[in-house]
Amino acid sequence: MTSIQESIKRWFSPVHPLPPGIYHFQAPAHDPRNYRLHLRLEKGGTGVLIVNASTVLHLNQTAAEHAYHLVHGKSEEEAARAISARYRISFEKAKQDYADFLERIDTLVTTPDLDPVTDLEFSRQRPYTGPILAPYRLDCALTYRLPLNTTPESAPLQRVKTELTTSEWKLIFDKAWEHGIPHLIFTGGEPTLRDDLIELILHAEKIGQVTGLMTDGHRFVDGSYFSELLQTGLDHLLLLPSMDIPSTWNVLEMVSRADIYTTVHITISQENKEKVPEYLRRIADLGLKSLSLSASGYGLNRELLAAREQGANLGLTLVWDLPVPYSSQNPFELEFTDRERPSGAGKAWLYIEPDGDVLPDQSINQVLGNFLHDPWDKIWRPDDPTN
Amino acid sequence: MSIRNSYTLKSITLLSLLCILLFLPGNAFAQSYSFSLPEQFVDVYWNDDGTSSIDYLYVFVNDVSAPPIEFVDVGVPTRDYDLNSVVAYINGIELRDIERSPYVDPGVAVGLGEHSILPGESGEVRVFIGRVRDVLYPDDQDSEYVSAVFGTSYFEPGSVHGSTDMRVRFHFPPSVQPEEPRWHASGSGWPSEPEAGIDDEGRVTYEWRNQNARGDTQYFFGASFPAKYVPSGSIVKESPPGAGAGSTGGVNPLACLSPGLIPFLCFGGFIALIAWGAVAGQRRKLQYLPPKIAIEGHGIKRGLTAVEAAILLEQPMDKILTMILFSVLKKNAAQVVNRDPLELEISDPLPEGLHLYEQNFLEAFREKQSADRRKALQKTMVALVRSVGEKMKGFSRKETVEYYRSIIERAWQQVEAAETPEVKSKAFDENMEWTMLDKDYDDRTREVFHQGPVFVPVWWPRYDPTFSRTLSGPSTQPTMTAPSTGRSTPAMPQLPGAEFAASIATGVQNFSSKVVGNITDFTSSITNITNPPPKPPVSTSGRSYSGRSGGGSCACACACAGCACACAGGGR
Repeated sequence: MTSIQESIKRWFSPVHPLPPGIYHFQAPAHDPRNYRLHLRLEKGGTGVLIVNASTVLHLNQTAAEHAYHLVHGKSEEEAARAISARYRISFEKAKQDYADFLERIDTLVTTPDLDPVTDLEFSRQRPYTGPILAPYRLDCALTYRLPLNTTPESAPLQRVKTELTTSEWKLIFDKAWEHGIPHLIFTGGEPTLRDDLIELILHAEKIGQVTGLMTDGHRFVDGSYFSELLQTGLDHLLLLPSMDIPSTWNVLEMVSRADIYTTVHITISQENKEKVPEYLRRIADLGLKSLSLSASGYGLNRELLAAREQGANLGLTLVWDLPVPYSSQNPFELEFTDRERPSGAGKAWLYIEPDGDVLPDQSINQVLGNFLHDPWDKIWRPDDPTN
Repeated sequence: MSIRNSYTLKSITLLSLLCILLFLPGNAFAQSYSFSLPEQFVDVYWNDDGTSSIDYLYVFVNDVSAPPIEFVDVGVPTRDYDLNSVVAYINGIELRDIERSPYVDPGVAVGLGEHSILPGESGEVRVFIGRVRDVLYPDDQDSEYVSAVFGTSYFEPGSVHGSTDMRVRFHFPPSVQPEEPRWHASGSGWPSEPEAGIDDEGRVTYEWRNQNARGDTQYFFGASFPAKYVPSGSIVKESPPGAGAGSTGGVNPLACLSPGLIPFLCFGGFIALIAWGAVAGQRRKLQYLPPKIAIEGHGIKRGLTAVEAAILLEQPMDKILTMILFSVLKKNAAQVVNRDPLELEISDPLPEGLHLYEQNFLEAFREKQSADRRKALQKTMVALVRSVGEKMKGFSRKETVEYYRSIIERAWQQVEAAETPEVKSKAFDENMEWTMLDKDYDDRTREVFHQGPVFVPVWWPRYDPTFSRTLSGPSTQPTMTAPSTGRSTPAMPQLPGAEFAASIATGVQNFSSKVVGNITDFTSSITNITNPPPKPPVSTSGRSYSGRSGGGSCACACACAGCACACAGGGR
């Protein structure tokens, strides 16, 4: 009788939205599109779909349901059957909507130069607005150590003296994944000075996280180390090379030949501003496609804009919001003269210092808590005005 | 969740429940909605056209273990209501998902969508029904009066718990005087007579209030007022449904049935059970709203030059090339030595600050062979389109286009606002690259300068090699006129506005016919590179989102589809 009652209960009990969680999809190796999707189901069944760790889509409950079936590789029939069983919608309509959803995502992935609003009928949401379950990215400063011949000021403030162990970092990655953070960037100091870097990347990739490495590239002179790094599944590189060192260009050439998305960062200073145009030309000549720019002072706006202009003419895509030195002084910031641009620090990303302390951003010295020891509710306060 | 009123199929529900209780030892609704309703305020406006407007305000507190409250079904007194007059809000945010309720007849269903009230949370839902007809009946005690009766919405028993602070306020037609209305008897627990008042619009009000009302109980309230204040045609002649004002329908419907009807009704009840099961099966499902995707991206991309904006605005290629020509002439980087065919004398050294597309343009004109020049101009345009595409990454194309359209309009306004011909011409020169982006450039130029000449800009002789010669010749056009300031300054050359505009248009035509040849072919040669044909659609949805012309044959720079990148990427 109990089982009959339970069956009837199930029959009559209301359908609930999908529970919060994070799901990962990696296009198969034979798929030339080579893309990754992370779907994070939020409270109430809405979702955030992150395409290639860069494009953030906010989904209403219904779209999130379609995305759920997409990341699980469901056929149109399977998805339509599941959706029509849970929603007041016919099988045919669910199937049509699912096909439509797949096509829009596919178009976004394969034709990135289309305007999603005009051509794909997306609406636009200002970045970093609206409630989200967790940040999109965690910047992990594995160490504040630097190569021997590097000037100390080129590293973030050396505030901490201890470094987490390998297992502690792994625990942080696990916790981050559980909380729905899909993207890690390993930074420092110089993260390649950690002997366990490859092991850490492997662990994060195994979980399903997108990984990026921010490095000066000095260890890539050892080609075998670079090859080993590529074997981990590392998704992207952010190089902050010392352009005046001849070996840097050898490293850049090697990286440009590798199958990894690479961004080269240049910090424009009074000392190097005359050489920046030449740097950009050489970077473009090597076939590198992505550029990050910042300036080490406020008097370099003209140079920043000129570099941005030259980069666009050379076909170098500008990226920003990365944990780079002087990250707030970039050409993109200059677009927003009235400072209307919302900041993602403490919301879209968090920064973890080598001892596990969490800051909103590498340039904001405000400890929110310790990722290892403090509860998530204490660390994650995106709406806290003091954050 | 739903809200029901007295007009739902109560008897079917009762019979079905009876049958269910015969088969189920427990409560089949154990996981159903569960919430409290601390407040329910209803304002009923009796309008002078004989209709009513109803303003519901509910405060829901959803239980921690209950499912989210996703939509609210609100009963309406009659079927003759205007769905378009219904507006709804949750916590002050307007809701768009409003339709006729599939569960409450008559009634409206309001989808809360992303503002669903989650377990443990509360929400204030307001539903305003602007126009309901057939709500007034003759008063059975006074033929000069009409009776206005209203029954509150109520919730499924078992879903709502706790007491409710309930207030029902009648607002009589504007002309009704305070001493005229008469109240009907109200149910137990309610004050024997309502509290009278005047609302913000000066209308007489009656208000009933009970702070210990129940959310799962229907209450009736009634009043009569003089019939002369409403059109006689708006008064319903039949008896009102459930007209036992004040009754909540607590009578067992089976008690008044003849024994011969009971087997029939039991069979009917079984059918009703099946029907109810089907309805319940649908109702347990989630409401399906169209899938919606919002992309994180920035809005307006500022800082584009007029030439770059022209790419974004999909201006014709020949016009864009003419704009570049004017741009290099203004910067004194070149001079036209022959307009047909167009030949330039390029300055040496070149001035500083030239954009790459200007440098490329000048390089193209160093080519002597027209085919080589055309090829070089094609490369210039390809590079320009791609450069704009790079700059647009992370920004909204749509908003940026609107922004630059507003700049074009502001440019015209500056010209039009100038009061003297000199100032007007100066403003025209300063804004020329933006005004040129207007598709009605020729007409507007003629219109703006219809009453006077254009004082040509200082660089004009570099564009029109005949201009300087005619200045020194005997011709009457163009003329030299002293500025109206009367100061001793060099005279400014001028052209009639129409001639000036025509000269610009000729420049564009020269480009299309003499420099790049067939403009359609020229455009295609660019769009085929910047905007290659899309791959065939992969789905069966019947819609295409490629949105590209694929190197189409139009003469405009619809290569811009290739620079419409916006939003995607760029950020992290």
